[in-house]
Formats: sequence, C-alpha cells, structure tokens
Amino acid sequence: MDLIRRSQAGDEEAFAELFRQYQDLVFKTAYLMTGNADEAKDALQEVFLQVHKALDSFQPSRGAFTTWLHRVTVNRCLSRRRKHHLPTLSLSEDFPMSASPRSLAEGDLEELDAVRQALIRLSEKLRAVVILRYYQELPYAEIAQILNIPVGTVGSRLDMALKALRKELETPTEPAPTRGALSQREVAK
Amino acid sequence: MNCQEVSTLLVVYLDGEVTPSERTLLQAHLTGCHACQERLAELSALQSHLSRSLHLIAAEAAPPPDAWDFVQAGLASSSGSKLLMWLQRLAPGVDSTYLALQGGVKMKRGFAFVALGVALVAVTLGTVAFVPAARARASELLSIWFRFESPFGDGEAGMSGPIGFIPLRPTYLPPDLQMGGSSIGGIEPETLELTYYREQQFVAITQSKAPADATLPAGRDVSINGQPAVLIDGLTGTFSPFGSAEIAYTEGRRLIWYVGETRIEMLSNLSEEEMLKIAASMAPAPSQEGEPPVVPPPPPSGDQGEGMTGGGSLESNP
Repeated sequence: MDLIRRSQAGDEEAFAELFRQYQDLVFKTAYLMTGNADEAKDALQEVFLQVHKALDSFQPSRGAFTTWLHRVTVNRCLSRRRKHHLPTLSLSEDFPMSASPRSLAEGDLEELDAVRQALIRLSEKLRAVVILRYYQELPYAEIAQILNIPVGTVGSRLDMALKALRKELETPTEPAPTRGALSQREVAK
Repeated sequence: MNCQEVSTLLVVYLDGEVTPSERTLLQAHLTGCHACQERLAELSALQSHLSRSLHLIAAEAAPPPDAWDFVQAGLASSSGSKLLMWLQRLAPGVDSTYLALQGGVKMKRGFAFVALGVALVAVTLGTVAFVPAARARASELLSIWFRFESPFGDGEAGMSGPIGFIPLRPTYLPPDLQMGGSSIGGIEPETLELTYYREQQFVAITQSKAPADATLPAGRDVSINGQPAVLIDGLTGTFSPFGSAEIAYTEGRRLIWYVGETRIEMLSNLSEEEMLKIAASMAPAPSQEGEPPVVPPPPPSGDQGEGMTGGGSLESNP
C-alpha cells in the first residue's frame, strides 16, 4: 500500500517497483486470455500505462489493488482484440512448448495441448471466469467485482464453461483454426 | 432439489461458494443419488485437471526482461503524441523523423541537412523550419528520443519519437558485422531502417507500424521467439550502404515478422541461422527525455566502407 501511496504522490521509483511486483500477474493473465505472448506484452504495457494514468483515482476503501489490476487487465485484453482485429492464433501455436517439453511425458503434453485447444474455443467471457477462478484462484465475489457481474453469474458462467470444456476434452476434435498454413519451427539458439 | 437443479450448482458447491441452505439441500440429494455423485466426481477431476494445466501453461510464460523499457517508452511517447499531432496540423506533410549523431554513425544520403552541412544535427524536415511559431514547438518535440546503440557499444544514434510504433534494435550482430559500418534513417514518415555492413555482408532492418490486417506474405514459415514469421530465400540484387561500395548478392533472404504493432522486415545475405539469431535479439530501443545531444556530423572520410569511424568522443546523454 505504501508503494501505491508513493506512486500516487509521483514517486516514479515506487511505480517502477509496483510494476516489478505485479508484472507477472498481469502478463500471465493476459497470456492466458489472448493466447499470444506479443499481445500479452502489449497488454502489459497498456495496463500499466492506464494504471499510471488512473492511479490517483484508486481508493483502497473500494477494493484491493489486485482486483483493480485484474479488471484493467481483462478489459484491456477484451478491448484489444476488438480494436485491432488481429487474427486469432491458435493457442497451440502461440504457447511456447520449448520451456518444459523434457519435463513432461508425451501423454501429458497431449493433454496440455487439448486443454489449450478447448480453452481457445471458449467465448472470451467464459474464458475470463475460468482463468480468474482456476488459475488466479480468486473467490466468486472478487471475480464478480473484476468483471462487474453479479456473484450468481460467476457461478453460472463457470458451470457453462466447465460443461463446454468437458465436452471438448471428451471428444476428439480438429485443432482450432490457424492463420494460413503456419507451422512452427523453434529458433536455433 | 432435483437432479437438474443440482447439476447447475455442482460447480459452485465444489468451489465452496453455495449458501448454507443450498449446501444442506445438495448434500441431502447427493446422499441418495449415485448419478449426481458421479457427476460431482467427474467435475472435481476436471477442475483439478484444468487448474493444473493452466498453471503449467502460465509457467511457460514470463514477461520479457525489457518489459519495463516498453512501459517507459509508452509513458514517454504518450506525453509527446499530442505535440506531434499539433505539429502535423500546423505543417501538413512534415516528416517528424530526424537524427542526432554521435561517434561514427553514418547518415543516409537522403537527408538534406547533411548535404547542406548544417551543424545542427537534430532538425525537422519539410516546412516546419520556415514557420516561426513551429520552430519553438519543434524543440518540444525533441523532448523524447530513442537511442540506438550498436551491440558492441561503440557509437550510437538517436531518433525522435513518437513515430507510431515502438522502434527496436538488434542486441546481437555476427562478430564480422560488429566491426563494420552502420546507418540509421527513414525513407518515409513512420519508417525506420537500420543497416549494418562490412565488405560483402549486410543486413538491413526496416520497421514500420503494422497495418490493421497484420498478415504475412507467402514464404517459408519460421518462428522468431515463438511467433510466426516468413522467410523468402534465393533473392538476387544489389544493396547500397550509405557511403560504401554497392554489394551484389545472389543468395539474399528476406525475413518478415511482427512484434506487437511493429512490422519488421530484414533483408540480408547472411546465413539463415544468423538472420534468425539477429531477429530473435531485437529489443525495444531505450527512450530518453530531453533533447538529443547536438554534435556536428563526422567529417567526410576516405574510408567509408568499414569500421565505426572514431570521430569525436561520446557525449553524455542529457
């Protein structure tokens, strides 16, 4: 809270530290929402630009800073996709596999890919509640505050999402549509 | 409570978010209904699987090390963009890209003030110089600029912003090219070209704002830092580095990809491996506030094809 107060007072070092503390939270949420590392990086920049601009209006009495940060992040991910009309790329192409292929068995990798495919097929509204609940592990009340929806709607959206995901994961499907005929090749390093 | 009603509440029940009365009714139903017990077990397994998978996927993702540079660039450019728009309204068609020089970085021939021998190296083109009111405003536009250091640290150049996209520079160059020449310029507004060359080798990196439909041309699909790119092989042509002999090539390659809203195109006769390595090393050019350092251009030199000329010592940044 001291960091926020100092940032609000114009302390740029404090804001830089605020960024360092919360960049992972924003980036990983954006990464799961958009399925694209570059979009996540852009979202990270835009979120913190917005935070910097609107920090004066943040009041701790109205909720946690992380709740506000989640709200800005999710809204930014949704608005970026609408604004820039960037092609939707398959998660299976955008999530880098090279980080941990050796530590996962082949069967696990296939399951992970299946979850990715299923997640990208969800609508953005359903994807948001899934990520906030099952990745960020937030309570319904906080998710409701982030998405500006009733608490009951959080539950019904999660119910719909899990039913859709169960159906996707039980049924062998074609991979999610890709842009053109792209294939991946890891850059030799 | 019937099975249909229970079915809609199972997820909420597993998440511990049902009301006390709902919990009582649910547990009473589950005690006597094997089908709903099975659904509950399936949902619980799915939740665990989903949570584990999301954590594994997210574990692969991390913000890039230069993420803060991006934010700083954004903070800087957001304060300059209003001035740029004002300037363009006052003098339509003005090219807001200009250069500052330090050390031995060469200028592209197309920039008129080099030919005129103007000592002030930071200048705006077009009609701005002739509009007295705009001259003062132009100096405000100089308040944000991007630095382009060569990967080996000798010499640097600057470029004013904002230009509609975040400019990048390579942080890796092959050892041979590190001892070569380089130049920075923009043929058109909102286009940045970095070139590096030595003897018969060259690489020219052109950056511009990505179009709304950010598509890639036909070519061989490759990947740069996990992002799609296209490589076109077997190009033949000539490349003319500024102030140096023309380089003819028959095995040129063109690599095209996007980094956020920046479109990057690399033309080179280096090996594919080196091109991909340079591409993967591209990082945002640091931006700085204040006016770029003003130094005279280096005097004409007989040897303009190789080496970073050692004209002048590096000045400290404002």
